[in-house]
Amino acid sequence: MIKVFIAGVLTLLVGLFSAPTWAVLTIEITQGQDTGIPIAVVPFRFQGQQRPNEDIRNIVSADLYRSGRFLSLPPGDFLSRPSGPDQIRFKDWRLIKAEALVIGRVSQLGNDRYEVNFYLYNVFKEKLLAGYRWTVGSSQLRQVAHQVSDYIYEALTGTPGAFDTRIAYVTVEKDSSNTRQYQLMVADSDGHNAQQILRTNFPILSPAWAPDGKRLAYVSFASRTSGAMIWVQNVETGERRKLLQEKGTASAPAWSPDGRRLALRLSRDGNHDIYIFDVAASRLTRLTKHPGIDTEPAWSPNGRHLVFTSDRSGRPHIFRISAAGGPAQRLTKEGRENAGASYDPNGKHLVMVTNQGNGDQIGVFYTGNNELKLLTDGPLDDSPTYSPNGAMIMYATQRGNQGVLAAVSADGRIKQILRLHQGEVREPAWSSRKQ
Amino acid sequence: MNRAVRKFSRPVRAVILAVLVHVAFGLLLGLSLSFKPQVIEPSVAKPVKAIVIDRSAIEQEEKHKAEAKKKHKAEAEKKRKAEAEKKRNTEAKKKHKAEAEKKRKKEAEKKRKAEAEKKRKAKAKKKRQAEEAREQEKQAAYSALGSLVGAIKRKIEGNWSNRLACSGQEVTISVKVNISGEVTAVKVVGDSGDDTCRRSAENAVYKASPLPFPDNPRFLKWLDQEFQIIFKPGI
Amino acid sequence: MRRIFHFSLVLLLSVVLVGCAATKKKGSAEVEDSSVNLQADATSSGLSSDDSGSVQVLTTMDNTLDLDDPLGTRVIYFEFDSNALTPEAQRIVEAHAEYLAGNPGMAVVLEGHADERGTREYNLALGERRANAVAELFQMMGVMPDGIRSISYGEERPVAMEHDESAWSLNRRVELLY
Repeated sequence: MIKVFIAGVLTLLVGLFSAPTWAVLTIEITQGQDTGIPIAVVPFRFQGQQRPNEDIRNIVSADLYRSGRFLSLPPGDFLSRPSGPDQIRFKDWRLIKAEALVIGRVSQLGNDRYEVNFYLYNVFKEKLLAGYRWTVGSSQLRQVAHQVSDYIYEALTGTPGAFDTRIAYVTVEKDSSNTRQYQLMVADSDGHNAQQILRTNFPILSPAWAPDGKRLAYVSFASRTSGAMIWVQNVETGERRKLLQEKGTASAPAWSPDGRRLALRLSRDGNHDIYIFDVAASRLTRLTKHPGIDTEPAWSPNGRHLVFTSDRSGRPHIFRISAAGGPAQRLTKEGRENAGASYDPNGKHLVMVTNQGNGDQIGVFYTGNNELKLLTDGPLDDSPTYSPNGAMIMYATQRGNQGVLAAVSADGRIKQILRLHQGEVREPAWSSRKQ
Repeated sequence: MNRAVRKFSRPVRAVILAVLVHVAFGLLLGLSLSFKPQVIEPSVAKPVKAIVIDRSAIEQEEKHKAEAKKKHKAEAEKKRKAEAEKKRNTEAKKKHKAEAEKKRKKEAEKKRKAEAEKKRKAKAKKKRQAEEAREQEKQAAYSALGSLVGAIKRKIEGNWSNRLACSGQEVTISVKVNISGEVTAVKVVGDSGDDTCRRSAENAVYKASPLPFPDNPRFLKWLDQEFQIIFKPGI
Repeated sequence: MRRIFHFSLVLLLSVVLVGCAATKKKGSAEVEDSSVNLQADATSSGLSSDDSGSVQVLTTMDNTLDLDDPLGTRVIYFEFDSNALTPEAQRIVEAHAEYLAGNPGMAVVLEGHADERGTREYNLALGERRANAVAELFQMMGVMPDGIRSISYGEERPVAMEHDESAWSLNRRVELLY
């Protein structure tokens, strides 16, 4: 009796609350155009006598395009060119289907002093999303443009931008006597403003930025009879010194997240192991002790763990160990070889070089479910480095029999070659700090 | 009264009832006792004068009387019979009339019913036809919209520029259109999806305006001009 | 006459190289080749500019070419991802070990190399492993440790530039430099 009653009440309730299906049409959308957010970046209006060399609009547009997340609409299609909020006719931008609008002004305040204003709008809601102003000299205009890109990127994707950052890399050229000349270069993340910070006949490897963005650690050779050594160089002043006074060869420097220590590979008596060097105390602590080759240490973002490459189980694979020492756990089980791993800024993924039978490819390893996702085709890809926001990975690859740098989005969808230099380019390192 | 009585138990109730009955009787008796007997006063006789009477005359008179009486009786009988007959006739007639009336009424009723039925049927048919017409119009409206769902879907897909923003997520947008298919209101339903995903879905709908929509004004009463779009890239 | 001409040419070249130091930019550092070993330089640059991929043979003391003389071979090769000495390599190393053991004043630099597959740091360590394998055999055969220098350039100084096994097999090597 009760059951019938309850059933009756329920039926009534269901009838009341469920909309009759004929009234609400529901359409499911699963496909789309992965062209990126269509954005209109209007050329910034200039007011003054001396127009600067840097075109902010072009730098911003190139940044956004390179990220793979945006489709920068061609200025030829713009129906108007506002430079201030009061000049905007949103209909003009709806017509060309821009989802976002960027406008700005550069005003000359004096000799080599400029004021830059920029505004970002949501077109269909006619809403201001960001607005900023800078007062700078002409030499800082490129940096301002990258900061504009960062604000746009963050407002529209929810992730902080990484355009106002620097990269270090190594170039190799053969000089007139056919000797290889190595250069360590530092440039803006778009390859501009490249500066040579070291030049030598000896190979340069493994540049690593200190967290403060002011120093670079790298590997090179002092003479023809000495093995690999680690140097630390101040990028601004050029001052450099050898890190260790120890016997043996040292390489693979990796700064701890707090910048106080360097993990590295040291070999004494033929044994290659991971050590941690405390810079202030000038003290070396051994982390691994194994007859196999242990190298390429990399810190987790919270500084508690390190991953490293070891061939202790046969072929090179990735292992993890606590920064305080202890047993090492093997992380990668699949594939012929896995090496050169480093954490993404969130500490959840590892990017690495993996060989699954098709040569060396860049892959992302998910520590949660042990899945490895291939991002590149290889067969000779190397040195992956995450951008500071974890959205992109820069790495070394071959194009037309020459070494070049490329950038791939973290999900592997968009790839781009960076045109940086004549000759071979390799070993990229992405600074983790804004300038 | 019942309620009051119900309050008490059975034996008590019985006693109360008995008492009441006795009281009633008592009252009745009392009332009857109060009647006065009727006194009938005899009437005073008149003085009479005697006359000589002839016996034959008396016999003849008696014979006459008897005959008259007989005749009277026969007449009365006759009359009575006739009256009875008459009465019977009248009654029969009456009955017949009543029956005829009844019959007539019945037939009229029948006729009326038949007509009402006919009317009703005609009305029902008309109604049914009207309903069918409406139904057809409704189906035509649905089918017009249905044939456009594919086009609506494609137009929105063609304008969803930032599908990746919703990877691993799902967001539902409620859309209102006018008869020209122009989007008049866009609203995110529920709270799934992050800001970037929601924005990408809203923008897809805005840019897809005007959406393909049946333009026959008669269809408008059937079609909800509000529908829901679920963005679910599944990647 | 020829030899003097060659010698002076090399001398001239090295003078020119030293003289032409590039201008130092702010923050830039120049590292020169401090201990220039002319003999070794000539050898290594000769090796690197020669793409024929054939084994280099130096003349012996009395200037006659003897292909069967293991001492004439200054390079030994390795299998992929391995630092084990092949029998052929062993033969050559032993010959050099004998020579060195018999000439205590001589010093040798063992330069280990690897092919380009795998990461640069791992190959740096692998090249060092290979050089050490030779050094161990030397020491076992009585060569003094002081006279042995093991270094590695990993994959940084290949002799063959192609991206195939024929090139890779030539790059997996240890060079014996006197």
